[in-house]
Amino acid sequence: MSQEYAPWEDDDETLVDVLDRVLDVGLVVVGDLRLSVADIDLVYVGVKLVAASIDKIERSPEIKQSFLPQVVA
Amino acid sequence: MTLHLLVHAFVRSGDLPPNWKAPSPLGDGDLSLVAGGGFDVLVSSVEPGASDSLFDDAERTQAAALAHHDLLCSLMEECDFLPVRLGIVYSSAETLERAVAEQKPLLDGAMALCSAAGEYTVKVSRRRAANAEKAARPVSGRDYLKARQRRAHQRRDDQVSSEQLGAALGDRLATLGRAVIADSVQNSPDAVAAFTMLSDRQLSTATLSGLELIRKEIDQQGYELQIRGPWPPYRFSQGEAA
Repeated sequence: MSQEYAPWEDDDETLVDVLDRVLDVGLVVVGDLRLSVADIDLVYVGVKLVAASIDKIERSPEIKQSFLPQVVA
Repeated sequence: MTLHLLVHAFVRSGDLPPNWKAPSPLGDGDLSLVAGGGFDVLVSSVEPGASDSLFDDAERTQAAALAHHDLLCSLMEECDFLPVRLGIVYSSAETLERAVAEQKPLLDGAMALCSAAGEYTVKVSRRRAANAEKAARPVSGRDYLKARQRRAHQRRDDQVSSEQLGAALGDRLATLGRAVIADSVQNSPDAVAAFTMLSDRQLSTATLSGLELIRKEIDQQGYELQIRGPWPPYRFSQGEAA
């Protein structure tokens, strides 16, 4: 790979980019599972404190919905 | 006491080197493998309730997220895998095995899609320009209203051109990668379009050339193109419909 393509090597990953991916996407296997936090809002609150840009969770019903069906009490 | 299992990734059975070992991202012993459905599932063992405390404050959440991400990045050098969203816990190996068996078609499909692949984030942003107009103070109410109208028209024109640019970029990326998903730009004020492209982990010369051509064209239109990767295939871990 030529050095001029360095911009898309992963040196520039930001914390927010990582948190967005690790916590927002990734495989969710539906089955007898539960999220590690019984009250999923706890995760959201924690994340919001770390990276304010993840406030999309609060603004997006779609994202919230992507979590909610997976929560098995 | 039965330990719970916090899941990190799905690997095809036998793909990991025989003596492969890695510390748990949660800092408590090594990772374990739970076999089932043709997969080895990488898990951390946690005491019931302990996983809750991982997320009880921002610092712990951040540490757990980064450690999980680091593990998956190092796994990219070993084999194909499906990254699991952080925070999924099974109460036992049996329940995990059952879930894997039930979801096997989805897992097989996603694994095939993500074979030897990584994902790249592609974001187009407005180039930050010195805003001379903003700096200049209007001398009269009439000037102010005219400037305001001009800005409104500019915003409308920008919106149209951004949408066109985003649509065209998505089409172009689809010809370069295995799959492309449009991302939200809600949290990036300067961004006008964002995509995640699944591609070979090592981009081919043709793909690199294609991306460089896109970058030049976008630059000429007054925008900036930012590409990052390869990431673990987070966005495609449930197939293209993720």
